[in-house]
Amino acid sequence: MSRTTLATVTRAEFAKFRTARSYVIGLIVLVVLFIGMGILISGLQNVRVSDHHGGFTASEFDSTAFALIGYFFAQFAGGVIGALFVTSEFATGSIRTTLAAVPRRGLFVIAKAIVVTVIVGIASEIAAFVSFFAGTAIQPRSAFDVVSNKVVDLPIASLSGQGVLRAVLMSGLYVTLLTLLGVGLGLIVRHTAGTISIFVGLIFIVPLISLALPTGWQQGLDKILPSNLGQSMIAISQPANSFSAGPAALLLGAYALGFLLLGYVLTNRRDV
Amino acid sequence: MIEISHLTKTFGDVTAVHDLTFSVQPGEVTGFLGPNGSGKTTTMRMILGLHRPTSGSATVNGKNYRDLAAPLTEVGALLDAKALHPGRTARHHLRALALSNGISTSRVAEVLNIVGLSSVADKRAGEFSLGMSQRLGIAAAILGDPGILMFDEPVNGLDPEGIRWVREFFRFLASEGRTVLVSSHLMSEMQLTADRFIIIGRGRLITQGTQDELSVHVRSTVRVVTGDNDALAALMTQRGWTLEREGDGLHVTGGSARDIGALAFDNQIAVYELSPLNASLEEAFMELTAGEAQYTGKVQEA
Ligand SMILES: Nc1ncnc2c1ncn2[C@@H]1O[C@H](COP(=O)(O)OP(=O)(O)O)[C@@H](O)[C@H]1O
Ligand SMILES: [Mg+2]
Repeated sequence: MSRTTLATVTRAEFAKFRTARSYVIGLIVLVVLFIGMGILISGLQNVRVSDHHGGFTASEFDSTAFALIGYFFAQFAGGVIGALFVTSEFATGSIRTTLAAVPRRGLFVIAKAIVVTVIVGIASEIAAFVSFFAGTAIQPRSAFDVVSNKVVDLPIASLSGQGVLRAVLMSGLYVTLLTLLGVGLGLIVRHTAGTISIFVGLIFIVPLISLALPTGWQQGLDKILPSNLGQSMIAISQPANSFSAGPAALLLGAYALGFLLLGYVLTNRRDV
Repeated sequence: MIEISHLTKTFGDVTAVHDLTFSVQPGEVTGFLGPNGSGKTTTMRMILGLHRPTSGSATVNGKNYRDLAAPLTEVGALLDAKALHPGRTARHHLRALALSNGISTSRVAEVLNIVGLSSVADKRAGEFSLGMSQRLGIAAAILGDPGILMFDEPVNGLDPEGIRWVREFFRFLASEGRTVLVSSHLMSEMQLTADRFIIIGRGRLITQGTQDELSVHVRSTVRVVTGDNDALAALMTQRGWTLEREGDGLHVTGGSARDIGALAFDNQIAVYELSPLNASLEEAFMELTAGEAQYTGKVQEA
């Protein structure tokens, strides 16, 4: 006797992810951006230290941040994957086939979220570790420091270093949470272009709007912006006016959950 | 069995379905007929829980669609053949559907074979012609071996051979005791397929019944040839029957063959020919739905 359960629906959504080229390509782009940018920015540090005219301040050399910088680019691939995994159902009309097979819409939303979390989560964490090891491996070991006026050894991060493992894990988690946010946004907006525009707006445009606000508001808003939460999650030593890594991750998780919940409520209420 | 009770759906100002009540029985092919825009698709979407009714209810096997444990094993539906991810192969499309309802994936190859798509099973569905897509949609509908099947305008895009095939296939499904509801905006498509018809116009039920039952609703014409057509014509006009001269006879509407025969006998007019001209079901449909459109037009003017 067959039954539609969260397990069967999740299995189906996994199969759908694997068998459509767009999601798989999105995943490859995510991993390549994550690792590629980490290697590029880490490698470019060698150019910086050899450029004696530019001047190099050793204390500003953040080995972990350079090696993990790719998370910032990977989040857009994540957002697109999350959005597309939902909006392509509406764009093609396959949502009707899907929801005729799975009329309990909560199962549909949870299954989509599980699939994206597992696939993008694993890919992002692997990309984070590869990026960290490859990036730190090619970073310069020493540089002429303009502050102390001598050649100094540069602090290359290792996983055993204070907060480093956490930063690597958090960079993958950040990309995963933003992908989930893309899923929620997709359920709310339903159109691919609209969803991706709003997603990019949340990362790039809202911080610009914050610049126009009074200082007190600006500090309050800056602190809770997704991109700044990402920085807090990954920073080894916290910048001023920011959460520490744990609370930042929790708040970002709450955002993703909030969007998913609103997406579920609307999906449950609206016709397809 | 599908039961629709006082089903109504409005989209803003548009009433797509209005107080519709009917049921669809097992063992028959039921034709769901109405002109374009009369609310057939909207009704089917409400049956499948895709659209929420504004009021009224639609149940399948006595349950709300959303409460079915494994929907595809109770109801199979083809609403829009192109409603699938174009990048996925036919096999993968069906496999995902089977997985979602816990249906054995070995069933996928079976249904592909039944609809004749085995040779293109690993082609991307986006490359399919409309006819092939319809076949894939039918494969998806029968995937869970459901007792209730619904097809929305399934003949669109099929070649004559494909049309013959779906007709026979629908009849076969009904002969196995399944409930089969097939919509169309053309009576000619359904006349050979359906046992029973539900006819709607502007979202309202116009009539329902078997082919014979429906013909009764239609103003029928009788051809009569007599020794004195002019005299009989005068008598019939007095009674308010309408008539037209056709060759050596008269085509009469308003009186039955029995009425006309009696009238001629009473007036001692020799009758050479007296034959009811049955309106075809196609004409019945046109007449019924045209009437509905006029009626609704008047309501809007008022
Ligand atoms: N989502 C919708 N929003 C607004 N109007 C709709 C929607 N779906 C259908 N309609 C309208 O409802 C009426 C019935 O449409 P439909 O059910 O598609 O008819 P049919 O399938 O018989 O051609 C039409 O007037 C159509 O324009
Ligand atoms: Mg229609």
